[in-house]
Amino acid sequence: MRPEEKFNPALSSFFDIADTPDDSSLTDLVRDAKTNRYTNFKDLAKGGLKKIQTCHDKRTGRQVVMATLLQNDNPAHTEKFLKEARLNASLQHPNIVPVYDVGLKKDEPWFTMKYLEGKNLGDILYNLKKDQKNKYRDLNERLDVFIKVCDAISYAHSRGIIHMDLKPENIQISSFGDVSVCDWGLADVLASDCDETLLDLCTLTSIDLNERTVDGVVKGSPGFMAPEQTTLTEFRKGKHSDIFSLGAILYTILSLRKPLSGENFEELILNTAECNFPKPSEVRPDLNIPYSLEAVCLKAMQLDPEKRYSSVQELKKEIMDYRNGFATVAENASAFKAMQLFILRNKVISSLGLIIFIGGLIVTAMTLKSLSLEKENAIKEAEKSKLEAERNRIEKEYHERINIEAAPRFLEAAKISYNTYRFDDAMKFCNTVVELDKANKEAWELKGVLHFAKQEFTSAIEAFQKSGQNNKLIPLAKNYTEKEKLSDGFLSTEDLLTLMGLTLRKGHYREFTDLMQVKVSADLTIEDRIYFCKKVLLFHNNHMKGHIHFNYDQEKRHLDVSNNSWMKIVFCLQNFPAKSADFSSTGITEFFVFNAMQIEALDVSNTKIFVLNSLSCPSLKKLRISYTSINNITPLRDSNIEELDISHSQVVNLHSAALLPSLKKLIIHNAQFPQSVIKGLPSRIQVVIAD
Amino acid sequence: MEELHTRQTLLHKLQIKQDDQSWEDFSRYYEGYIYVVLRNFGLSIEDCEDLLQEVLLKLWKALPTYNYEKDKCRFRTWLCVIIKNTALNFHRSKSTKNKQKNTNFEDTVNKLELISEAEIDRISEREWKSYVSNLAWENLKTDFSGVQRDVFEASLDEPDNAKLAEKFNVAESSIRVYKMRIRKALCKEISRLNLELGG
Repeated sequence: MRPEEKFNPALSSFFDIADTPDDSSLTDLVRDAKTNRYTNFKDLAKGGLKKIQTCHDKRTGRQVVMATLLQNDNPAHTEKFLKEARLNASLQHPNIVPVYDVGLKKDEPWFTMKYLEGKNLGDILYNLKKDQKNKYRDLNERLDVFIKVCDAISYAHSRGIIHMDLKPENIQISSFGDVSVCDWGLADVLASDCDETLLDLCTLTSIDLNERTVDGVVKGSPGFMAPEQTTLTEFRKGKHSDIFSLGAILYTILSLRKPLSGENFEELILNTAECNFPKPSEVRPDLNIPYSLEAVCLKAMQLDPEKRYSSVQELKKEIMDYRNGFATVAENASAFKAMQLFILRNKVISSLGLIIFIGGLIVTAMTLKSLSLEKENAIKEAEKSKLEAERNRIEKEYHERINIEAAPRFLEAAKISYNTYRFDDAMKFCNTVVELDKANKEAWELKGVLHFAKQEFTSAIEAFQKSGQNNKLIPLAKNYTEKEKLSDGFLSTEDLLTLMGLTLRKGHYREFTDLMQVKVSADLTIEDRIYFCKKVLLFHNNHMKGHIHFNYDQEKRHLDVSNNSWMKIVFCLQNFPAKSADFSSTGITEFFVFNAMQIEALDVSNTKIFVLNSLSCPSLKKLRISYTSINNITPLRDSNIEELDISHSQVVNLHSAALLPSLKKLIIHNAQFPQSVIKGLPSRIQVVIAD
Repeated sequence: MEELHTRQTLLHKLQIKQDDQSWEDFSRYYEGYIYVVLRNFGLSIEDCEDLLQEVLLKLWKALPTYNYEKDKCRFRTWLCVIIKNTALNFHRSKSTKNKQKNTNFEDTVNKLELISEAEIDRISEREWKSYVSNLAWENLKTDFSGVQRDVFEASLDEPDNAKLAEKFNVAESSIRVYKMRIRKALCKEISRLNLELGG
């Protein structure tokens, strides 16, 4: 039997395929596409004057979108259509749909664009509203889309082109997250801003731009268009109209609802013209819309174009700031908010540091027994430097990421720190400010003051010079630059006291206190501290020629400064290493200084103190307030006081004694309280009658 | 252009130079085609094999008189007319020899006589496509692995890749690749043969 008997006639189908142009050479394909380049049309959309279809481009072998005129009976329409094509084609940006080709087929205009798969933002937001799950559920994902739209519009504005019909439906997002701004049908060219080449496309009459379109329809999409696009307001259209629409898109991104609506078209137009819309957070309180973003949205959607953002860039930066965890300008952020955000941004790193630290402590604790003291210290040092390095890294990054506009907020923070005597913090904030904004005079001046307080006179002079102000401290500082070089960072106590005397005499009280503060905050030998404190107490209380009663028992760590009735200001005693102190019969009026001491027993009897509110000293166990005007001991309820002497004080209500959780012993004078009241006290409190 | 196009064909070679080699090449490729066309004219396998030689002989004699005019009539149409006539003569002779016994031959003769020029053309085309395609596949077969070959042959009757994947226990994507590879090679070979045979 011949082999032909087994032939399969089905193979014939390949004979035909072999003959089709698909398998012929590319050169032939491109050559053949001269005529009938586009085939396989499928309708995609109809809108306004245009018909949008997808088709196959034989020359490039890809699917493209073709726009044609629905009716080609009006030369004005043809011009308008071709203008859109030219305008769009002149915009070459990754977030703007590209136009491939423009042409005429038997006098019928057409243009082709990139085929964009995926969904438009309008659909995505609508689905979200319907509670459908997708990745845009995350607000940050939606903001990323918005930022790209801002990029596109910012670029268009830079070319002098305004879109005028921005809405979520005109923003196409591919499944890979590419964002494209489409439909430039209402776009216009601003003659003052555009390139020479685009001048041809400028609208000739203002009627065209500012009145209704030739078709008699309102230009723009009600719900997203700016008030001035309704023609019911006096404002002219321009870039700010796009900024309004961007604000409206942001509104929808935040609240999943259109900002402007109405029962009917007239009402909608009226609401648009009057900018009558509820705040996003009012519409959807359940979405926890960030306050800062709402503020941005509302600023972009102001009725008066002047009050909106002046550029898309500015608007975008606000979103970026939020996205990167910074306070927005619209929010009018305080230094506190900025710090809060800073902590939030670095939460991960901070907690990492904490974990490392705690981990280190555990390791230390476990190996404590087997390790010598030096080894233990070495480990602690290593942990410390690790944390230090981490903190420096965060700060460095922090500084790099923020910009000049943040400078005033840091200056504010620096001032707050300085006013509360946190010099290291103040210095850091100041450094940040001058790093961000080298011309910030106020920051340079404060930096100078801080250097002066830290006895860094050379740096102080330098900073003052950069501030451009002739600071009163410069002459003083100049006198000490030599001494600064000779000493190892700090002046001798004697020199410092001289300097402090000078500042005081010149009336620089704050600088006097600053110098004192830095000194007493440092590690001093007890002798040095005692000497320094004695002198300052005299200085500070203007008791220069008098005598001071000042005894310190180093063994018992007991400080006795009693019977100095002239002594009112005792700040220099902060950090004094006393365990107990006798301030009786002095002129002090409040407790602040003790809060900065690790003191356990305190006698303030016979002083001018009359309220306990300023006392916040957890270490304090024993307190004597005899012979004072204090009449209420309730503020002590958060303390750890075990023994309290209220004899001969003005305390009238003993009930509050029961509120002191740790109180064991209460000293009163004879007949201060009725017996019944004393008996009413809890049994843990032993009541002692003083003589 | 016409010169260039036909110069390479076996037919053309044979027309310019009627030597043994040319004839051998020509008949080797064309006898299969003659055979499949003969099978269209109601003949048994044995009769076809016999008549094949007769057609070749007629061809050998008639070729010098065949004037190649592509636009007017294709060589394979002309060839099919010869084949049809050969088949017709064969049936006629049978019908006169066995007039009493067999009326079947007479029917066939009548049928064959009714075949129009257009019908001949259609048959010649159909059989040519099938013949060249199958020849191409025979030439290529050995270039592909057993599985690929089997998958491809099965795919001629089963267009669903998923079902083929299940049947041969290979991934659906592989099925697609096999088919695409063979399709490309096959189309290329068909084009080549078609050009070379120049029918």
